[in-house]
Amino acid sequence: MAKAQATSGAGQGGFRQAQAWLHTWCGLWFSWLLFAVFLTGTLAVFEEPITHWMTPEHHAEEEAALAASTRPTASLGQRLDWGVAYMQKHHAGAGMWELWPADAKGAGELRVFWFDSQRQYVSAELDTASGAPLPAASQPPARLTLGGQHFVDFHYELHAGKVGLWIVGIAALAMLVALVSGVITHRRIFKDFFTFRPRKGQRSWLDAHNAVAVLTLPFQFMIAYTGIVISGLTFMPVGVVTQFGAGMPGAWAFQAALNEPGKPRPSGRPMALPALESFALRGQQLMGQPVRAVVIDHPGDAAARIGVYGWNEDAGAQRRLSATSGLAMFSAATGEVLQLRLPGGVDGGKASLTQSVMAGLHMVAFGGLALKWLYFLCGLAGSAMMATGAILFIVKRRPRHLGEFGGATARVYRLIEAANVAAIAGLGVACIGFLWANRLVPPGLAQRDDWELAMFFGVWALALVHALARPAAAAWKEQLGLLAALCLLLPLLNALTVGDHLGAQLLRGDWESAGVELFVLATGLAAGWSRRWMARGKSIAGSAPRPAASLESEVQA
Amino acid sequence: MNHLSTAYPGLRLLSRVGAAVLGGYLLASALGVFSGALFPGDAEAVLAGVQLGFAVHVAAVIWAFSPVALGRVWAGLLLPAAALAALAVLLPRWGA
Repeated sequence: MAKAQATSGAGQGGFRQAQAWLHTWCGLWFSWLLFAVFLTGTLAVFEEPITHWMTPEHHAEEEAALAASTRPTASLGQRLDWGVAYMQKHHAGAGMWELWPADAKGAGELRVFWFDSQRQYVSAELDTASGAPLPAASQPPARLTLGGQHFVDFHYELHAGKVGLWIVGIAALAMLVALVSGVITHRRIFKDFFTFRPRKGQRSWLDAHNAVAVLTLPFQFMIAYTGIVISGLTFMPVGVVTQFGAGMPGAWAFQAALNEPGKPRPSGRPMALPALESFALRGQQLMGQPVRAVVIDHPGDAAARIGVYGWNEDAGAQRRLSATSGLAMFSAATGEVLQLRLPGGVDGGKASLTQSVMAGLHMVAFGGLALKWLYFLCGLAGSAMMATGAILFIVKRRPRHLGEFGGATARVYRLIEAANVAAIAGLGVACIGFLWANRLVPPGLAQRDDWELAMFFGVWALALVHALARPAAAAWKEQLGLLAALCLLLPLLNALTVGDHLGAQLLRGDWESAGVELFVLATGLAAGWSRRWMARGKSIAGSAPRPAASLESEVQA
Repeated sequence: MNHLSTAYPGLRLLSRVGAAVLGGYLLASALGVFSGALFPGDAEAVLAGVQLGFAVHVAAVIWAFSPVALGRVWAGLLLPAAALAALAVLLPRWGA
């Protein structure tokens, strides 16, 4: 067994030993990146509450909007007429008019969208009492921030665009490989699941690693696979290229073949746009959803087409795995129904439906709050699986190093330990540092959101420097201590800078803000407890060396 | 090649990783091209090929790291990939 784990152990020994080798090394090299992707992806589940906490100046506006939305305003037909009148007067030449008349209750704002001469997607808001265009919000928000969107973006493209997307995609494939080889390695997974030997150093880490992984194994497979498939056409474009051509034209042709059967060409014969209300009402009836948007292709032409899209805010949306809304497409000239898509359906066939369901599964667009919490807990378990795996690697090698890197083995172990500290505790510090930055970077500063992001990456980089500079045990203790302090003091910082606190949040029923602070407090307590536990000598660096042979026989990974 | 790789275990490892990553990707891509060619012009078939391709890639990596000789790993991934690609070229001609 020990021999099979030497550097040249790839594809050697029995099938299970070879898979153990693959699980160990594939798991180790990707564990740090995967931990970061998982932890931020888990936080991204609660993107909206985090954004809410990070935009305290916005709370009053949100409440005013909520109060305003319950007041009746102009009818749907009136709102659509105002939208058309605005577009005819100011942007008659646009080839596509997109009107968002109202929210699902028929109230809220009225907005119109179109592509300007530079092919930029632009919009205007119209007054819902007069139809007059409202001046664009000239003031940028007081506290410009990425908010929870930071965690969403980071978890799938690391704020590095296409390059980041590819890196995360490769890591996700490596995760699937590590999961499959891990199941083969720990084949007695159900027995392992009921085994926990606390305070036994290496064995406890192994048991913890098995327990979190086995408990949430279906979730881990699902989230990694759906994550890859969402961007699958980017990762594996050759099928599209051979059938539909290369580059953007090929991608457009593919998309058109997939879900735009028969978009009309302009006929060149002018025809006044008919009143939209009757189309909207018929569409509403056909798809069974209130109107979200009315999209007109080639307005003013005899070939104009009117698409009516639905709001996915009904109770039914929570029970549909596919998050597509309803759509009814009409010919403007004849009123004939060109296409009807029911909520949750797709325009194409089974593969399109699979794609939509996979996206819905990954982004937990269904099931409401209960399922979000389930995803959150499973995501935390996945993060713990990667963290315990990376720690197990080094704990196992503490008593006796296995010489995988020849003469450099001790130095490489040292680097791996530092990477563990910075990737696990350091990322935690960077995430809470991001929230601290939100309260400390002065509102109104130019590119304020970039400063917050710089704090996140800066703190994380410092954590790595610190982990490299200090002995591993000290680095763990110091970074966990810092994490605990920053978490436990965040409510105080909020009270000092913004004047808001848990008591006030609970009194006004602001569960989003209270939820963020309560979770941060819980994290602080957990980090503090881990730090104390390490200080008592039960360190991540493992208990006193024990005979390696007895461990080898039990630990396969 | 064989002589070289027994002398340098690092090269053997590199070759195995290459087979898993590159060979697996080529096989998965070839499957996508083949399923597209099976139903010409059908975007659904192309999409289904992509969705399945990643499972094929994962299986290829698992197999590439099982106790199988290096030459067989490369051949076992590249030959089916080449066969699928060739079929994808030939199918439309036979159909026509």
